[in-house]
Amino acid sequence: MRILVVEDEPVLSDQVSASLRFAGYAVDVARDGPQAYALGDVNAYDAVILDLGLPGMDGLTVLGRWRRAGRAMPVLILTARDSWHDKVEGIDAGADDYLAKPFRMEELLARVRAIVRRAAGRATPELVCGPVCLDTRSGRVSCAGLPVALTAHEHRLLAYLMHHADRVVSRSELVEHIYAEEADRDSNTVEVFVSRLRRKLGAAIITTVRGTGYRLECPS
Amino acid sequence: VKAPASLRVRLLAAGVLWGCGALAAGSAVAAILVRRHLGGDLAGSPPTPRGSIDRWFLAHATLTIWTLGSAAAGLLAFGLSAMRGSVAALDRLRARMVPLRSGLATRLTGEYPTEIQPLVDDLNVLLAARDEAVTRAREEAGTLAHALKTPLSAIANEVSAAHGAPGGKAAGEAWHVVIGEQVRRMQGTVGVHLARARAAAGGRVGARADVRSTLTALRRALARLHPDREISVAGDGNGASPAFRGDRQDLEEMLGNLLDNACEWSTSRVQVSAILTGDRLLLDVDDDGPGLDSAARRQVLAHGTRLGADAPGAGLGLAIVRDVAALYGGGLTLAASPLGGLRARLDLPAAARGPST
Repeated sequence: MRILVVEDEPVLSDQVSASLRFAGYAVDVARDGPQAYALGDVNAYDAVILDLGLPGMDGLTVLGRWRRAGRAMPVLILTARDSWHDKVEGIDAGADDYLAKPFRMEELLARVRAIVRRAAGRATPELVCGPVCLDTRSGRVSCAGLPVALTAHEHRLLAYLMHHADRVVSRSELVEHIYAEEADRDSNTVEVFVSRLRRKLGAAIITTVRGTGYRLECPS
Repeated sequence: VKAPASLRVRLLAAGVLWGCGALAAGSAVAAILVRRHLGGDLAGSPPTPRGSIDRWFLAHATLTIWTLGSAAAGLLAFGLSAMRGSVAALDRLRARMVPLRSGLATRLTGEYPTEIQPLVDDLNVLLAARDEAVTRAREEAGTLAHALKTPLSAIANEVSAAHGAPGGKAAGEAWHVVIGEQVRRMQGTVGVHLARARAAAGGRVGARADVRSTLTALRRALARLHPDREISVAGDGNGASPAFRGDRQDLEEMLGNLLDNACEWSTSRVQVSAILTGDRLLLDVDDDGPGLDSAARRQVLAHGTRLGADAPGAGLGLAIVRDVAALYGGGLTLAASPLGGLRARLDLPAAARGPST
């Protein structure tokens, strides 16, 4: 799960991105409008946290341009402008949720989890696939009721697969969603993570679809 | 009647007409007196030799008196109508001020006599300047809030992170509690006063907000924010939409907070209804949630201004709604809802019925 944080205030931006990283997300940061637009236009994010008062290009303009270009990732507006007039304007521009400053970090994390889940068409915060259970609130993973310890990358990869359990996910898509912009990418490492997950959760849980990618197997 | 002639011309015309009228009336009276004098002589005593002018006058007296009399009446009537024409312009001006005060118009319209028109134009310029000043004050309040809220958020996050950090609790118990509390108070103050500044600035001349279109916009946003809640509007679609005599953003703020609160607490349904009684607009927001007992209802409104750490937004939201409604000479009351939860009732001044939209 990969997230773009757009916030021009450096301290707040650091706090938000640190909390998101701590919660297991890969995080990219943009400090102004044009940079935010460019990042969101080329990368596949699972969610965007967008401030409205940005240097260079206003947040609503950035959002409007993404939507017109067909970028459909869930966007949470995080702003000091908390009037309902602004909220209506933000939602009309294509935002999925609206959180006003001051906010509590737990609230922000809960909202991000909710919009990611909603965008993937999942209704409950607990994602279940066969014996494997991922609680998106705590980030805990269990297999047949027993807790399983995962590294950050394994966790992101599993979370992405569980949010999209109904389809085949390509290797490049996984790379896009588990690494932040500045990280060293190597699509071969995806294979390494998948094999480690198989070892921890059972070999049958992830099947390789030859030439296409991976699919989570959820016996119902 | 339509042509707004100069007031001076009209008054001058009235003066001249009345002068002439008075002259004609005077002449008619003089003619009557002269004829009576001559006629009396004629009736009482034997005919005496008279001048040819007397004879001519007696022969034409009746016609002369009638002509002078009707000329006098006509001139006086025309003078009066010219006079009234100029006063009518002032009456028209007064009549146009009424919708301005009741929120149906934002500018004085119509054509006026050349002496009054500059006054009307000046008044319109003043109204425009006031609107602009209000908008600017609003923008600046928003900018100030933006400028304060972001650093306050950063401080609050830092404090709560330190609180959660190992060792931070024991070592920094005192300072993080103090800073956390002070930051919360500052955040609360910024929120409440920003809303008040917005509302106080909203006492704009001729402001009017259509309830139905405001609700449509809010429902669009709330459908996104609370996708599993159903918000219905009672009595939708019959007749003209009621309107609030005040600023649209303030109505949005009050209804938005109440609806958001209702969605937060409801099980599945939220209902809004607007009732127009005389010059008051009653807006009910009902939910089917757990509701509040009467003691809790009083408490929520009494302590609403305080930021409850465990009830994010809820207490503060209601306090803002109450304060904004009070600035408009209205109020917020809480009661039990027929849907089973809480009913929040806004009592606001209604705008007079405008042109049907």
